[in-house]
Amino acid sequence: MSKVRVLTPVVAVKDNMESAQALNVDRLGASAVRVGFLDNTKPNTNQLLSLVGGLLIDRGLAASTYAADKTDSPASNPASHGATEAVFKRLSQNADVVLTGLGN
Amino acid sequence: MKRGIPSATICSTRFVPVGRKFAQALGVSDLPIIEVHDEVGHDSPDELRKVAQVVADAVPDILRKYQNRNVSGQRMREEELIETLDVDAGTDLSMRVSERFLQENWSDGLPVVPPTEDRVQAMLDTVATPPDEVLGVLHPRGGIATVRKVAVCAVMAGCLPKHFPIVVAAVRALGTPQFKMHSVQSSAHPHSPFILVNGPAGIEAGLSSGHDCTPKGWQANLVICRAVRLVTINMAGLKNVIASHTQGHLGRIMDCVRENEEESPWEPYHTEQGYARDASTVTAFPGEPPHLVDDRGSNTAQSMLTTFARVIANGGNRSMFGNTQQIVLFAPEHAQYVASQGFSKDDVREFLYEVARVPLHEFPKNNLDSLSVWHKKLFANVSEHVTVPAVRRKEDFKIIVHGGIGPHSLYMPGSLSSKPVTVPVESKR
Repeated sequence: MSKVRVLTPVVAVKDNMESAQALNVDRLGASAVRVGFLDNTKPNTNQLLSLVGGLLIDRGLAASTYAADKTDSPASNPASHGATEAVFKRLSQNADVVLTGLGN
Repeated sequence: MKRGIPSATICSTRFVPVGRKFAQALGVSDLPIIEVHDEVGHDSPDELRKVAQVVADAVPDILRKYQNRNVSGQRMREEELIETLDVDAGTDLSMRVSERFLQENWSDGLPVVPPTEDRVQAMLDTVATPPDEVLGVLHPRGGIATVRKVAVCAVMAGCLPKHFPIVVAAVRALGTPQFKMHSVQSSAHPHSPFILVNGPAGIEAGLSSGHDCTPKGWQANLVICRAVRLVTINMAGLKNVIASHTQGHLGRIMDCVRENEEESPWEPYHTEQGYARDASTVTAFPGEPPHLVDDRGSNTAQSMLTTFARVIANGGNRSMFGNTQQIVLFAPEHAQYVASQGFSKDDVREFLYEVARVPLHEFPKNNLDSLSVWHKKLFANVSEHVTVPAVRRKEDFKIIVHGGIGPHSLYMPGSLSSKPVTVPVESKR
């Protein structure tokens, strides 16, 4: 049977990792690390991350905690938006590992 | 993680699959996810302490995984880019193509028109834009929407060549940063692109602006919208997770209309955006499914517009909780009556800005936490009788005249983050 050629809607995808930086895990070997939190402003997230920070310090896992949120976002609902460059910069300077929340 | 900082994210059980898909799409498929129970957003302080224990317990293992390089942050393997398929010819070609495309998640479930090279070329011939020009990168998937690939979707949808310039403009609008396709696709809030066409291109394409314009008989309204839908499935959506809306969007496949400029007493929408009256434009609005505004008895413009305000402003309307653009589709009968009482479009906006408000005490108390940062700043520590406006500025009411005879208008709540975008329709002529 003869064939008919059809085109597909499959598209190339932009390389989201083109500007990604290499992971810096060197500091994670320290006995206690600086833990950053990024609160996306969903209900209870701020409270949850604060409690987690307290526990990590009590357990000797965290030397310090650093809290950031998306309240400087231009969007009125920042939960589904990326954090601003300023927030990323502050987290980079103040944290060795970051916990983000909340997907809910 | 892409900034070089080891990271993990906390997701409720229901959101874990969606979280993994989005992590994949963003190139960090091995992002650690800490799972917590679904009701965490409503937990009491005591319950929240238990959840915090779960999260804290997970942290040592995540640190170990990073130290042992079991989390790499490496980019995911790219999917194979299949450009063409050779399908057996024959009378049931359309059915075979439809089934194959559905298996590949390239379709919406309805039969598709096989996108043969000549059909795709017929689409491309209607626009001056080169086939490989990128109309936009559509997030969250990050699909690169070239004119050629959009033409494939237009053929699949059943578009005729005369529809294609409108599809191209619509995709260009969705690809703008202001439209924030990522947010439209990734939020649980059910909203979707509503496509409005102004100017002669809509008439040439056969788009209806009038009575009963979305069911049978109005091919252009249906197929243009379907083409846009197929573009979002293939270029913005993630495989098997097209969007994360709680219910999806019930009007998604039919949300393309032409403004009823002929029966409107006011200037058409696109002229308010700075275009000449005879220009052709497409506006993409991020809108919820429409709500009915029924008024058949008002004998003053103020009374009729109060009906609109009552439908818009209520404490359960999600779009009241942030800075949105509210889309109001006036039936010609309503628009003509209000205009006959001396109300310009700007007067309508002014009236709705003043009247479409909700007293603070009418928001359910436990929902106040969901108000935007701006609202919290303005309405903290004020009397509960202070009223919250439906929009931040009166210009955020987007007034359109649409539909045929009858006392029924529509109101479409907007998005909390995405904004409407108007672009010109370009064609070879």
